[in-house]
Amino acid sequence: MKKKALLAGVLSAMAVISLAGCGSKPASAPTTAADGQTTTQAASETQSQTAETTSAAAGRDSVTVACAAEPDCFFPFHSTLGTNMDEVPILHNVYETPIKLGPDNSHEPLLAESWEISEDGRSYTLHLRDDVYFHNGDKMTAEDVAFTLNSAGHTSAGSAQLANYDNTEVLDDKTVVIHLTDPYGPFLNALCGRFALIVNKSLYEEIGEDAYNDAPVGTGPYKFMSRISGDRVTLEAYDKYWAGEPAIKNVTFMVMSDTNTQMISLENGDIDVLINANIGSLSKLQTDKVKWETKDASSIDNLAINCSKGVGTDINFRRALQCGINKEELNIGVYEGYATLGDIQICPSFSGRPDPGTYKVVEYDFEKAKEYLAASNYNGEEFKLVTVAGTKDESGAQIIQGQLIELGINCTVSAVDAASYNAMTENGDGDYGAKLRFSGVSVLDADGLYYQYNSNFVLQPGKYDAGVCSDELDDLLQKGRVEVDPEKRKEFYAQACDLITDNAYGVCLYYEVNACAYNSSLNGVTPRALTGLYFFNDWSWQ
Amino acid sequence: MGEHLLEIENLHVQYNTDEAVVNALNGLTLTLDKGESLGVVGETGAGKSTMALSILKLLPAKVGEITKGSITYDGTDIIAADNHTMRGIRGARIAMIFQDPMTSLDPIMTVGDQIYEVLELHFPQMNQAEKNQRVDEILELVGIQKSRRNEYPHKFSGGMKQRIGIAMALVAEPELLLADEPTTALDVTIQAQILHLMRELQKKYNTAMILITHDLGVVAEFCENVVVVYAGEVIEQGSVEEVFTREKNHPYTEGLFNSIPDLTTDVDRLIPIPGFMTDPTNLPKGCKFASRCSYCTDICRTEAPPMFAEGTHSIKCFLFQQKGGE
Amino acid sequence: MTKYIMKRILMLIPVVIGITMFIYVIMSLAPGDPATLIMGPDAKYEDILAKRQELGLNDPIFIRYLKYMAGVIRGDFGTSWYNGYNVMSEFLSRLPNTLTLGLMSMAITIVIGIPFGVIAAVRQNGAIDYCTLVLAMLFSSMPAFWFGLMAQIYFCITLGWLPATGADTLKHFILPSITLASGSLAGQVRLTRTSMLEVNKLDYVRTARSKGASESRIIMKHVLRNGMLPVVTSIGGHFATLIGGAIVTESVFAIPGVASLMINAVKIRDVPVVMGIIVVISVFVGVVNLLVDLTYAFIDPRVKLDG
Repeated sequence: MKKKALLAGVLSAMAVISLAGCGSKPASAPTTAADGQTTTQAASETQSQTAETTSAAAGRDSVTVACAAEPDCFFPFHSTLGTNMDEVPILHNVYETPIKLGPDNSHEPLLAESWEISEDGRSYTLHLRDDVYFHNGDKMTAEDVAFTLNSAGHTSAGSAQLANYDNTEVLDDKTVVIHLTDPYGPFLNALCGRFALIVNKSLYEEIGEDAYNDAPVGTGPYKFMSRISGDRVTLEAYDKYWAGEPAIKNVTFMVMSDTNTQMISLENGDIDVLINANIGSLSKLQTDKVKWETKDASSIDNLAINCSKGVGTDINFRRALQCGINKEELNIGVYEGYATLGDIQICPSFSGRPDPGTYKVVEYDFEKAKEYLAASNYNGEEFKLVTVAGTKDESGAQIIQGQLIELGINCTVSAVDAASYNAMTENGDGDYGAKLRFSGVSVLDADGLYYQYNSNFVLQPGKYDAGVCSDELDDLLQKGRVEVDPEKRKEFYAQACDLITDNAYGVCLYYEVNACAYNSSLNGVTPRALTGLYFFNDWSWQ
Repeated sequence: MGEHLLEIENLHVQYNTDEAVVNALNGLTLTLDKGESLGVVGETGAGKSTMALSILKLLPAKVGEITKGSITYDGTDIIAADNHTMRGIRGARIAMIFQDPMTSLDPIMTVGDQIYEVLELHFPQMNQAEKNQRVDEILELVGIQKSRRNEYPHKFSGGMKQRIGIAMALVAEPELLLADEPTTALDVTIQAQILHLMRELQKKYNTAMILITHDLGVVAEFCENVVVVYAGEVIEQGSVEEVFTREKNHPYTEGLFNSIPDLTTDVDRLIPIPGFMTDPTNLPKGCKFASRCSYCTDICRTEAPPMFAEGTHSIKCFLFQQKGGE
Repeated sequence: MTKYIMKRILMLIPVVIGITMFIYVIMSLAPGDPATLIMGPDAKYEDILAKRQELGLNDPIFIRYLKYMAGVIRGDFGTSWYNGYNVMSEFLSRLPNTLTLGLMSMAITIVIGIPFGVIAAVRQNGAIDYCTLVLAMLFSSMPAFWFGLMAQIYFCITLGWLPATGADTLKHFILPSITLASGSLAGQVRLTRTSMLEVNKLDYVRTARSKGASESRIIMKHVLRNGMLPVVTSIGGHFATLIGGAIVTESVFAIPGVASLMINAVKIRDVPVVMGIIVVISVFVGVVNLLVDLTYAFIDPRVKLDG
């Protein structure tokens, strides 16, 4: 009967839809490791355990790490895909760099046993280890190192970090010489970074970067096992790791975007480590099952004023801002007081930073700010502060707004999404008063100023000229970049910072803090200045 | 006469609405014998439907309330009867046909199933085949092809839907049929068919029938006896001959007759009964028809008249006081 | 019947075209350059230009749209501009989670909402009626993130009965489904209750009563089945929205679903991912509506399906 056929059709359609939902759960990941997929569930199975966070429950050789952002690119220097900080934890455990960044920004040997720098600073000779094997069994040689650096050094992002890179020469199986066009002060830091993560040359030539991205193969202590979109990445300890198999055998790296969820999972023992954690929430945790630590990060929060349009063209107005913002209040409001107040746009731990006392500092002075404001041409115009919605910067902007209003400035806050932020501030008509956004410096050096103030970079076509460039500043930053003598570098940067301070191009608010929280029974978890840089093989359960 | 099949004695029913209490029935009294066909006539709002619903205790819950009086059916006290007893009576011993056939049938059930439902409820001992056969029989009896039993109500015309209603009411061969204006919603040509059908079936099964209508002509043709209801009371009752010879009638009944157009005479205007039905939320003392009655006297306004009987013809009016005893 | 279904499916095509065109244009016109976002703040100008060329951003919007749709017709939904993964496989890997969440929360809404609506109607104005309505209102008024958070604290930390986050087993979906269902519970209860009360007043219910049917039979066979008609329609429409709308629940319970994929893609202007999801959702909603109409026609014999 017609009706019966119709019913059958409707029911089967609904059944199909339901089956699609209840079927294979979770669906097989789009990317799998080259040597087969064995998704280790040890860590996740414990999620259904009781709230007792005992190491026994978690398994003494498994760790679940959580992070707010999803890592999705696993080839360090992909030619077309974007790079961001989310992949750093995975990358630096699957691959390795010649040099390892210590917790205090020192340089430890990793793939390179030792190294020398030439007198003129243009050549770096690396002596590589002889006992390193890739996850697929191939031995790592100087060819791989040279190939990696030569490829990475010519990608867009790679050439920014490996500044002044020219080429790498293979001397023998264990030795390479890296040639730079000009000296580059923080080059050793660059060799600890993403674009020096060594890949397998022959494998790359065989399968190409996309396939390599799907099934990464490195020399690091952990093998990449699988990725489930939006959910997790699983790593397994590499038994033939040259420094010995790590204590933690299974690492599950989970994506958890909601802060409250992160806190609950920590308390509940669902996750063992939370990286890039939110300090405000951590400070409210009241359990001794969880410990947390902070470290000065590699990001600077700077209020960059639009100096070429509107009220920002007036230096007195800018000076009023410079001494009229109460950074202490800001620190407490945004970071619970954990951040370090900023004076110049170079983080305290960076190399090349001038010593305290050798550069000018502007103190907070409300009265002076009012004087400057009175001396300026400010007549109550709207001063628009642009920032990215949903970030700490938005909270900061609101606090600043309150302070400026008290000062007598008609300050408004425009919090937009990241794409619109870029459109408004970087590529637009300069329709803003000041922009507030953190900027990270992966190379951990004063050279970060180059990307903020040097006209070669800042004044590229299509970018809005905010009026912060000058020949003098260009010169100083260029000199600082290629100077070999560390003391001379500091001098150049001191002068550059003074110039910036005198012109009040912006207000350096504070240096960001990296926080991570972990199960108190876990040893060896420590944050580094470079956001997301953790070495899982340093960890062990008590 | 022996035991009456149905006895309604001084029935008072009110509706408790948010605004006011509506006194729908105010001391209604009537009797019905086995096989008798009784016409119940009155204006809209007189309380005719309320009476029918009260017999089956189908008044809207919480709103409708029987406050006084008694209803006795074949010795059973209806008002005191529990739900179980009533469910045994409804559909099997007393059945009802409703006024609007368009809305009285469940739209998502086939007509066959709706008739079958009656048998399912009251004849558990019948097996499925027997029940189905009975459904087919009754459909044929009401003039519907039994091949249509699996169709849905919306496929039938108004007249046919009412036939189905009749089929549902009669399939269990009840003793009493309450027909609440069964043809009011149908056009005149169908009306005659339906009424003829009902009378046939009534005679066939010897069912007593209460035919509620506002149409005097229908009563004259199809009923043996008639009661006239006004403002929730029976104000005149008797055999159809007695009432319709028009020698003696309650002034209201007289008014009803006068307002019917006459095929034989030519008039310029019809003669309605002046005024409006009394407000059931605010009943007057004395005779409820007093304000509209051309024969009204002083006593009519202060005292409610009792029934004055002359043989089987009774009239509730002081006019007829001197004509024989109470 | 098949003709009707064919017709409806064909009608989906202009609808999908209209929606996708609209979304594509909006995404393209929204402020923010995808190339800049992908390459990052330190990228050089030439590299950004090259990226724009690679993504085809220099063509006029309409040409880009046509190229995209040409790919879709061939079944090629492209790859994410951001991380290079195949759009469809990303989407399909997230889909089961969202579907499970949607179906389970739908089931809860139906299994709890309808019976309570029926009870509330049957015992109208009684204690149960008021309690049910108050509770339903209470649950609906709680925002999902708060409700989810409270549930996590109580059931996961304090009692330890259920896992707090993730989507590994069906057990993981219990709290999220309840959280998601709580929002629509009040509506479901009220709708059912109102529908039942309205049907109860209708003449044919009285007819059934006059036939001697018991109250429970009247409710089950007559009132319920007639009263379910508007409820069925609302369920269908509701399910269609669940597919993309559970963003808060997905976020609080760390469930990798379609909603979070979509939101992230919109934020970074990853047009292929957004479009892929939109195309699928449009088709899905269209099909669900069709199924609802067919079900309705099946339940209610008065409904004729001839376009």
